[in-house]
Amino acid sequence: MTAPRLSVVVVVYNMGRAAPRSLAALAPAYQQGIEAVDYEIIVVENGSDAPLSPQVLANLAPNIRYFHLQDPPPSPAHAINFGASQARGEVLAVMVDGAHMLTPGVLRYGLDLFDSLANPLVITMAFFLGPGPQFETVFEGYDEAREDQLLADIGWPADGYRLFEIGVPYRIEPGGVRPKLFWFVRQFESNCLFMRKAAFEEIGGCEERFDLPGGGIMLPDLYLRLTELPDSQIVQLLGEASFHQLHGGTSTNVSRADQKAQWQQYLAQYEAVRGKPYRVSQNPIRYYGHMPNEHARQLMLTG
Amino acid sequence: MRETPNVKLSVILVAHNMHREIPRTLQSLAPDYQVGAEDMDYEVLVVDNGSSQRPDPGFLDTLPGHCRYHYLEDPPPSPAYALNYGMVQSTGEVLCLMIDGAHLLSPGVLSYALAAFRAYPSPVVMTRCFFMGPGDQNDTVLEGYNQQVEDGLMQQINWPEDGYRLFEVGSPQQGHVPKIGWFNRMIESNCLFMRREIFHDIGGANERFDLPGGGFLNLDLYREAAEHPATQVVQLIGEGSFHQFHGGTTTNVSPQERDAKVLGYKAQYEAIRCKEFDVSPKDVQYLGHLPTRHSKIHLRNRGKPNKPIPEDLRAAILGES
Repeated sequence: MTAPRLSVVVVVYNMGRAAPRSLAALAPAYQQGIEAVDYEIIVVENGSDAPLSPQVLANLAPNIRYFHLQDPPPSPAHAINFGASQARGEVLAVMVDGAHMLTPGVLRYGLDLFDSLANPLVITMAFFLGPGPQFETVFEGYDEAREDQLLADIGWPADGYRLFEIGVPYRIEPGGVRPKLFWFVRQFESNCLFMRKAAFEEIGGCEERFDLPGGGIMLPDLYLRLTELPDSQIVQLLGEASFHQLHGGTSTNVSRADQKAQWQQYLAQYEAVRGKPYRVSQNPIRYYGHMPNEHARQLMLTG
Repeated sequence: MRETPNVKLSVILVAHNMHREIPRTLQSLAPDYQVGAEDMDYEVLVVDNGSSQRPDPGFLDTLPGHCRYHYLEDPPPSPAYALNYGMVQSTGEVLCLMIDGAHLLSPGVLSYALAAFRAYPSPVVMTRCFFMGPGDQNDTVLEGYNQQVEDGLMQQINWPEDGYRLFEVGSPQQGHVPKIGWFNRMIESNCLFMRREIFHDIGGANERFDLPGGGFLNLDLYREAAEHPATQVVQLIGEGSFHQFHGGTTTNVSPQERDAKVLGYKAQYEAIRCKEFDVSPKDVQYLGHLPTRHSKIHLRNRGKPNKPIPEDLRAAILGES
């Protein structure tokens, strides 16, 4: 059996409701322009009390490999490093938060440029499901039942691009203003980040000293170090995205004030670990993708 | 890690009475201007479509080794024959068709277009069209825009020192579209790339489009290539071709004159293709970057007042599907 080209590493933690949808959105039946033999889905159960059931997993996709870590550290850094160590693909896609559902072209577009660029680092843009940022909407009555209803309303998973109808961009400007001209906005992390496995190994993988629950600034740190490789090329996908489902996550489903305080804590830990303040990479960005429907296109005007 | 090598590229440039503009166009195609040219294998063929004056031999002597100049004696007025002639003379696996040689390029056009040929099996790559100056030259010419103003603009940005500064002095071609951004669907490109076999499969440039300037020839060329089952349509982001003022057939006449001509072009298209012209429905892929602040054309808010568009022109002109 030949090795798949791509290994997707997905970390899940007590996500009995959210993860099956995220995995269904990774399955060959849903992802377009890619076959089951081209990739593997490595699910790392990060010490959950309520792990996913083997029956559920078996029905989701034929190319899932499931690993259940017992008593792991709280940060997902170790889980990602473990998943990457199991990966057989030349390209890695890291999904640190298994509650993210993808649009149907992420894997295909994410992989496309690995043929033509030396060392691409491909970012998938992130959205919240629901009518606004979840750290606001959960205080206004947005809950799992409403989320289920929204997904039923768009007939998901029949046309995965309809997710753009029921989500908002993750990135929120100061004062809670939604960003305008969304697709070209510079990102500093991604919940579905593609890289060569060799690049991941070259930088020593995820930094496990970022040990705050959820990982703190672990993911921005991983991304920043990858951008610092001399032949690294940042690519941001257009018209493809990941959509975050509610699951009581560490930094996404808490109030804005709590989130700000958390971020300060993350920055302090970054400085303690790296000995310098955190910065956002200013490397040039390439854009790559398409506009699958009018809702995606409209984000250039309305955010 | 090495990137996949580039395929050989032939740029075919049609010129007609453009002795002022062609040197700049060629400068924008020179290896010291195009980014990454050291990794490219390309040639530039100028097909002079019977200009009233032959080029100055002194000028021809200055052409660098990758450029060739072909003068056509008494050719048809449409550039279709000239494009086909250039194709026969060229050797590249990929063709870059510049039907109007007055277009200057930004410095990354060739490298991004070739990147598309590494990312896709058979892309049809479109470079967005800009006018030099503050707006569509059809409008600005009425306000005094001319060659002297244009020369001043080129000096102002110290061209060709940093070619991306063209975005400071150029404007996206608008026609009747209220606002242009990088995602607006294009219906033609003055710097259009496709594989040689695609150009061959679609029968090359259709010489029945015999009006001066070619009428809808360039739109037809793109549409036929886009409709080819093997192709993928790619629009570049953050790169452009910039039209220098040269008294063009539709680019440098008043808006009313242009619209009247377009109606004639449309009728000819219908006669040749036995259908109305429409925008290719094929999905558009995007590839590119935003090299400078001025390249963020989506942030410009110089929308034209919304004038009613004649119904019969709407389908032919509107860039947005």
